[in-house]
Amino acid sequence: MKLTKYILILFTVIITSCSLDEVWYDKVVPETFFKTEGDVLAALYRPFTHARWYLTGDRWVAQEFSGDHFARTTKGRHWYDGGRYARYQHHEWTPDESQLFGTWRGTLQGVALALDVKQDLGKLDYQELALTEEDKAAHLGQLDALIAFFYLRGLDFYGGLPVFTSLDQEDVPRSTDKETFDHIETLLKQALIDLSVKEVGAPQEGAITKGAAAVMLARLYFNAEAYIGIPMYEEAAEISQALLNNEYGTYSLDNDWKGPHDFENDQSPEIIWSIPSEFNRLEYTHYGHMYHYNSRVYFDVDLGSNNGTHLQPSRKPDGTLYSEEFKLGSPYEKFEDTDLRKKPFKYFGSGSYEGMF
Amino acid sequence: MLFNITDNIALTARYSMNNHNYYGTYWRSAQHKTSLDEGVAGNASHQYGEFNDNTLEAFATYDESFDLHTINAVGGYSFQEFNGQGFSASNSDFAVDGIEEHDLGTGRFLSEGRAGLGSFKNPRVRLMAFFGRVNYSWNNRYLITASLRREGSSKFAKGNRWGNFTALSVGWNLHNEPFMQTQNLFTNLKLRAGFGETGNEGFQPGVATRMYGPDTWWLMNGEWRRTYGVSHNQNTDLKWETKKEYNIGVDFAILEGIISGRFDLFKRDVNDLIYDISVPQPPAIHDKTTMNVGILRNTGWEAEVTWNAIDKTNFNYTTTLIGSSYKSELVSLWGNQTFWDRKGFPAPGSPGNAVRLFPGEPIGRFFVWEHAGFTESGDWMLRGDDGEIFDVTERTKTNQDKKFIGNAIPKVILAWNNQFQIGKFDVNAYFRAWTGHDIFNMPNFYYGIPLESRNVLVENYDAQKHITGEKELSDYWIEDGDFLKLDVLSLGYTFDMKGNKYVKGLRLYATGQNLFVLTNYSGLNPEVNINGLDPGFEERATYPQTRTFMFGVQANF
Repeated sequence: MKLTKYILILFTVIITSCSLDEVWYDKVVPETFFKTEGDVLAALYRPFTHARWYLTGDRWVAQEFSGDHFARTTKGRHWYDGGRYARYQHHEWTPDESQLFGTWRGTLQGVALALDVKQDLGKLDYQELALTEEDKAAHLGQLDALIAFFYLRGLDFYGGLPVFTSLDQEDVPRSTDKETFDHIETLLKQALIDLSVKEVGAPQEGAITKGAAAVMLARLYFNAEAYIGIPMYEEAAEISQALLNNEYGTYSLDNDWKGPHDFENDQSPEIIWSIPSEFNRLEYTHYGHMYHYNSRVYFDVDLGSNNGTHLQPSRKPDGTLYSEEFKLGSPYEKFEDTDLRKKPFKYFGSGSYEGMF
Repeated sequence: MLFNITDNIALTARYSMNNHNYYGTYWRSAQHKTSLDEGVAGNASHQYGEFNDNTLEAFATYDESFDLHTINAVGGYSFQEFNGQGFSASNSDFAVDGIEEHDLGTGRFLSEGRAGLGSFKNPRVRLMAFFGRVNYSWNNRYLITASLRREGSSKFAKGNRWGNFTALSVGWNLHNEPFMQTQNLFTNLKLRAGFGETGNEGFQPGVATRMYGPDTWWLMNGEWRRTYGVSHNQNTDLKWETKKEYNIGVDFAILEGIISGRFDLFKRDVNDLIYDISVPQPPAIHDKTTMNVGILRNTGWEAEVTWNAIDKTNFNYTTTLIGSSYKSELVSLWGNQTFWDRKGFPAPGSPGNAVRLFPGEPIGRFFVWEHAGFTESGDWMLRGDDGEIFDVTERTKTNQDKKFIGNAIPKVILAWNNQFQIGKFDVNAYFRAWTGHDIFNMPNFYYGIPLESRNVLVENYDAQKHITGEKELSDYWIEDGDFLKLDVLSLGYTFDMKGNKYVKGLRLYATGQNLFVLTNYSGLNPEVNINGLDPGFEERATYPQTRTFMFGVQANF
């Protein structure tokens, strides 16, 4: 019976010593996440990478294919996709289009991601991480401005959206256009107080500064008549003038038309807010949709290409212009023949090129 | 380890360790079409991983019989732990094709920062269970079995980790009753009823914990770094998915065992079904949350009859027929959800979803447009919600126009086994059949329309030449799936080895598997998946079934 006793003791030890707690290795849990400034920035910019994603995909499809400049025609077995691109082209889209749902979700997911980080950073003691209260205000201001950016895009697509100010809220109903408009205005006005000004001559990195919030506010006011039926052109003009007076940072028009589009456009004085891009880091592979399968041979690169999107033609098959029947469209022929941008795109190497088409 | 403590009590303890390692390599030549298309001179990778499972089980058994009572009881504990980790590396554009995958570092992509490097270490997953079971019978007439299993998993949040699963079954051996001794029709007659619960935690770990994972790059103070954010929606309310099974049945044998069989009625409720579900964002951060979504119900019957038709010295024939039928229904959905769209068809063509589930309605219907012929130029015609037939190039089809069509679940599933023994020959033939079900033929859908520059099934090159419009997700692709299969046919000959000192038995046999299928279904295999929430689709990339012939010798020494 001695043996039995030992066995029982052994089992008791095994059973009581094994816990059912989860143990994690390749992910980080909140308790151990925020230790350095780098961790704060890694969290702060997560909703920004969503914003970068947001500008492509469903949003781009819904906005551009209905906009009479781009088209995605069926090519063999590719790109019929249930007829959706043709419906956008013909302005016959239905509420079933997955892009409309995807855009709604993408918009509000941006709000959710930003609110989540705001909640995390709001609770942090910045001084413990050798950061200041001004840093904290600027970080939260960036998040407010980013939330305003998503709501601004959402208002443009749908009108009123559910207005969330915290992730503790559930089943928030859809607000009116006016309520959504007011929320965006409040967020941007607060951000204008909290945000820092872009340093003169510093390259654009993707952080939101005062200037970007001001532009968004100007845009909101400029479209107020369409969004809420109240013309606010004077308010828009006032902010725009303040921007021109460099009250929200030092900006000016670029001397070269290519400046804001160039490889070094982070240096362009014209850009007020941008999303950074670099080979092997953040790449705009989205534009692979616009390349023919063999485009890489011409460009001498190894990018993937999907042979999908192209400009809407300006001419009919017989060569006559569409402009007589349609005011919209004809994205190529509407450029003056003397316009430098109208030349075919030609790359000379070392970052220099001419033309846009 | 086994210890016999007393005559009635025994202790058993088992420990097992299962270590699974893999080391895979991949190489694509610079001459491969993909390499040429992409302008990359080859691609190679290595993956290494190891998975380690530990299981410890200890239980005590107790056996006792006295007078007419027989008791058998088991009580114990089990513990399982799962760990895994791995590493992978890849590179592309190699100077020399002949090096294949054997010198990864020499590819150009590494120097450009475009090579792949990854590692993972899975969360520790633990499962624990305390269990007990008692069997009791009285005079081999009344049988009762009761069991309780208390099971815990580290995948759930504290407070939801443990689930209790009970089972109870009773049996009545009617043929052992005194009043049955006067009849001679039944040699076996048993009534059974049972109830049992089992738990399922088959989802990815981590749902219960808030965690940060990497997203893509961003510029921070002049340096490119990866951003980190919440990697999935946390659900601390998630609890065990529980399958509750109820059944009543009867076992019988009549005419001295010449005919025997059983009949069962069953109902299976999967409660708190665990699935990844689209949720409102905000407050959720990501599109999907792993949740307990609803109740899935299967009801049906199963019957089996065996007939020892001929029982002579040189000629035996036994045949068994098994039939079953069931219905599936999604009883409820989570929250205020009214429907659930599933089975999204992929590119090329990305035509949308072919399944829509409503609570309280059966599973296995296709949610597609109703095909109504083709125009003279070969465009698709569909029948709209309003009953009107329209050309898809003229009128925009909507989800409103979709209909529930067909039934993916067979009305009856049959299996029929035949065993002959004629002298020294033995023959076994095993047939199976399903009837009353429909199949969405996805290979036909994707390779059905012979427009230029696309892959087409040979028979469709002519058969569907008249279609010029792009494929529509309609009942045009749905077919009757009835079939009869000869699964196994086996022929054997046993030699008489009496008096042989060395070989005691010798049998030669030949077996053919999957010998024929009788069906009108035009796809590869009418035996498609009929389980789960999206039954009835023959997948586009289905591996063809093989037909096997085997010849063998069995010898006993």
